[in-house]
Amino acid sequence: MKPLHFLYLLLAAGTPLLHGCANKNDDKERQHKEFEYKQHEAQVAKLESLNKEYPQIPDERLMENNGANSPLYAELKERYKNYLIQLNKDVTATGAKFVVMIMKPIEKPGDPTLNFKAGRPFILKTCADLGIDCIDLTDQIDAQDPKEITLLPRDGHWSKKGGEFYAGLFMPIVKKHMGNKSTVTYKDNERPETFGDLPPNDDEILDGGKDIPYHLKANVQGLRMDYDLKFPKTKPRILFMGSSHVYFPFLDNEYIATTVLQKQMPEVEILNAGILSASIDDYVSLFAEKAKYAEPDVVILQTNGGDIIHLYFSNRNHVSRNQTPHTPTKLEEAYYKATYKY
Amino acid sequence: MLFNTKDFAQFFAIILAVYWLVWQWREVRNVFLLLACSYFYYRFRNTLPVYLYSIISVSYLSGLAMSRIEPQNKRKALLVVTIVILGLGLAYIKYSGLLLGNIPGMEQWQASAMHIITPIGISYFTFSTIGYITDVYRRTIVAETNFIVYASYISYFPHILCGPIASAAGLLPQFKNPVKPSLEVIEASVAEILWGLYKKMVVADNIAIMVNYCFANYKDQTGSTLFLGVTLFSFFIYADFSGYSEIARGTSRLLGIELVKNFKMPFFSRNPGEMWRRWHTSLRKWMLDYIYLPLGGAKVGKTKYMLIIFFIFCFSGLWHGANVTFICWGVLNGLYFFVYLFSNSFTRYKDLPGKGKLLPNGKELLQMFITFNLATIMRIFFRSPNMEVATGFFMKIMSASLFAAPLMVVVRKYVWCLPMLAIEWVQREKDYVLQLPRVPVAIRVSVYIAVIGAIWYFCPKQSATECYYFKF
Repeated sequence: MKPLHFLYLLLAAGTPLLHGCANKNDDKERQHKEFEYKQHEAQVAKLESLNKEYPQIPDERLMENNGANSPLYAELKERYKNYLIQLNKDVTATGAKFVVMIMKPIEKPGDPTLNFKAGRPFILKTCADLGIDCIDLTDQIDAQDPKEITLLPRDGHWSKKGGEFYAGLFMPIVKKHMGNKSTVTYKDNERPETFGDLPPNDDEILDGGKDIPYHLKANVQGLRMDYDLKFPKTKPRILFMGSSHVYFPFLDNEYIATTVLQKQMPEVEILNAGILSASIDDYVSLFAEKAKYAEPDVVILQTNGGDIIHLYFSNRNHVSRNQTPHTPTKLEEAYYKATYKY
Repeated sequence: MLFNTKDFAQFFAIILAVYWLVWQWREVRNVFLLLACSYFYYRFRNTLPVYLYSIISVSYLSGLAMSRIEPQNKRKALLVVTIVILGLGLAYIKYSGLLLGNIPGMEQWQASAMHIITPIGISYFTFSTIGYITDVYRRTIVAETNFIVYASYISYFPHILCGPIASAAGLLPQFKNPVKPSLEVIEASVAEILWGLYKKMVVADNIAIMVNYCFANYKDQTGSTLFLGVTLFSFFIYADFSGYSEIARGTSRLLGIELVKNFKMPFFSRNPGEMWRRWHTSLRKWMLDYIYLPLGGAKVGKTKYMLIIFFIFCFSGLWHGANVTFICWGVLNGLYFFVYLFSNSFTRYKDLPGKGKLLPNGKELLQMFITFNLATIMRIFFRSPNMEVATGFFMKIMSASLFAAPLMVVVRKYVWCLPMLAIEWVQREKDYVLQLPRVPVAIRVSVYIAVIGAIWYFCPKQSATECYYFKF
């Protein structure tokens, strides 16, 4: 037998064996995928059924009729506190500095929203109890003309001037903590495709249904910024997490506070992982699943009272990033039925 | 109730079924059509069509009276009075902001200050009634005695929101004797509706946001981005308006009533004159019949002729809205026209370019390119909310940044326009864009299904948008 023939024979005999092994692996993988798919389908079906049964309600109404003192609001506050504890734990576990920043929303000139009035002292106290650095920007925001820093009367989100204003407010916070170093590094194959929730390299015009078009650009890692992150990092990384108040809708990338700040502070890398219509459970999952792999040295969480009332189950079922079905608790259901459904 | 919604599809399916069920009973059919039109109009803003029916009643009674008056001077007096009544209503509701808003002490008398909501389609139905009453005066048509028929003609749902502006001589008789559509006509109508929906929902709706972005942020953009942005606006306004007009034409033909073609491939025009003959043809015909000809038309001296043309373009601008930008747009278009008139290069082309060929020749291509860009530049004034934006936008385009790299996100939007342009070019000599003569039924049906698939797949996920021309 010539050596080449022997090789053929070996290959012919070996192929079914190899094939068999591969098949077994494939089968396992397929079964796993099928299981995951079925779970996902079941989750989607449950969510659809819940959303059909409980259409989303305007959260702000939870605060009416002395809602801030209701048992339901106490339940939501407790939930918020637990998520904050979790996020603090997850962030500090990476060696990063965790900072909470209260940004007052401006929906109309004048009095703050009821949820802000009730949420602000609770957040301040919770952070103090947990030993989390909390920076309250309310007084600085109150000193501004709402018409200057927001797009009012069309929308309460920030204007170009608002972007500049917030960059000025963020700078001392960043400067104070930029010396902190995270202690973890991840291998290339450990990192997810993106660190933020935007599609990689997203480049489109959006208007949020409000006829205020803006240019959204994301880097390859799904963060709202103009360059891609490289590893190993060479500069301190500051990660901003939060809702639309950090995402800055209705402004082109170049006018949002994080981009303005980046230009003013080239010695650090400013990462914007803001999510529209988000609450604190979203930040917890975003950090655990994606953002921590960017290896931030400082994590600045923007929050306000909205994050507390957005934890109401019907809001989460409609807009949360993971779309995990939330079955109402007894208090939530009682409130829903009493107020909206019947 | 917009044409591009499920609500309208359900509404129209019911109307079509009942309309054909009662087809043989003319009176019942007409009453049903009028009720359907009133319901359609009511549903649009959930307001009763009081103003619409007032205008219909005034013009109807005036027409009846005019048909019984023999002396011409009395008829003329009645015509003037009627036009003044109809015109004053339109002028007050639409233009009082521009006229009274700038006079100190008169601001509170503006329509908006008086909380008067502009009835949708006001320009279209007012022009239709003025056209009707003028035709009765001229005795080119007989006054309609049946109120149901007349009211159906004016409030006819396929055309009330944004035309085509109906000519009574051509359209009114069809309400008495609509033609039962043949299978061929049904196919043509459905094909026209599909192509109209494609243009509106795929092309226009996908590029609208980019146009809005360019005009809202013109100060931050380069000249090249803005130039591409205003060119997108040209495609948008065409796809939006002509798409809507084609849906209107298709739906109307299924009811046995033929509306005029409002757009005849205007982007393939070789000079501004040709473009105006192909763009919004029903408004052009209205202006010819009721302004141009009464003022003397081409039979007057050159200076007066120029003045008439100039007036018509100003009028056309003003028809679009009470804004200096529209007047400016009209005036500048009039100036284009003069240049062509003076340079004697104003050929009255009868056919579309490249007749019988796949591609145009170099000269035609250049002519089309120039004409398209001339019209596009003027649309800066058409689209801008005020003169500050218009001049700022225009100056940016005229700056050196015209040669800078544009935003790629704008360039990518052309992916929506170019297939439309290519298909319309290839099909430009057909009666309707999806016409495929001598092609087996199975292939034709496949094409229609493909268009439906494209609409379903590419239509942006947003609530249905109004046609841009509703506001006029």
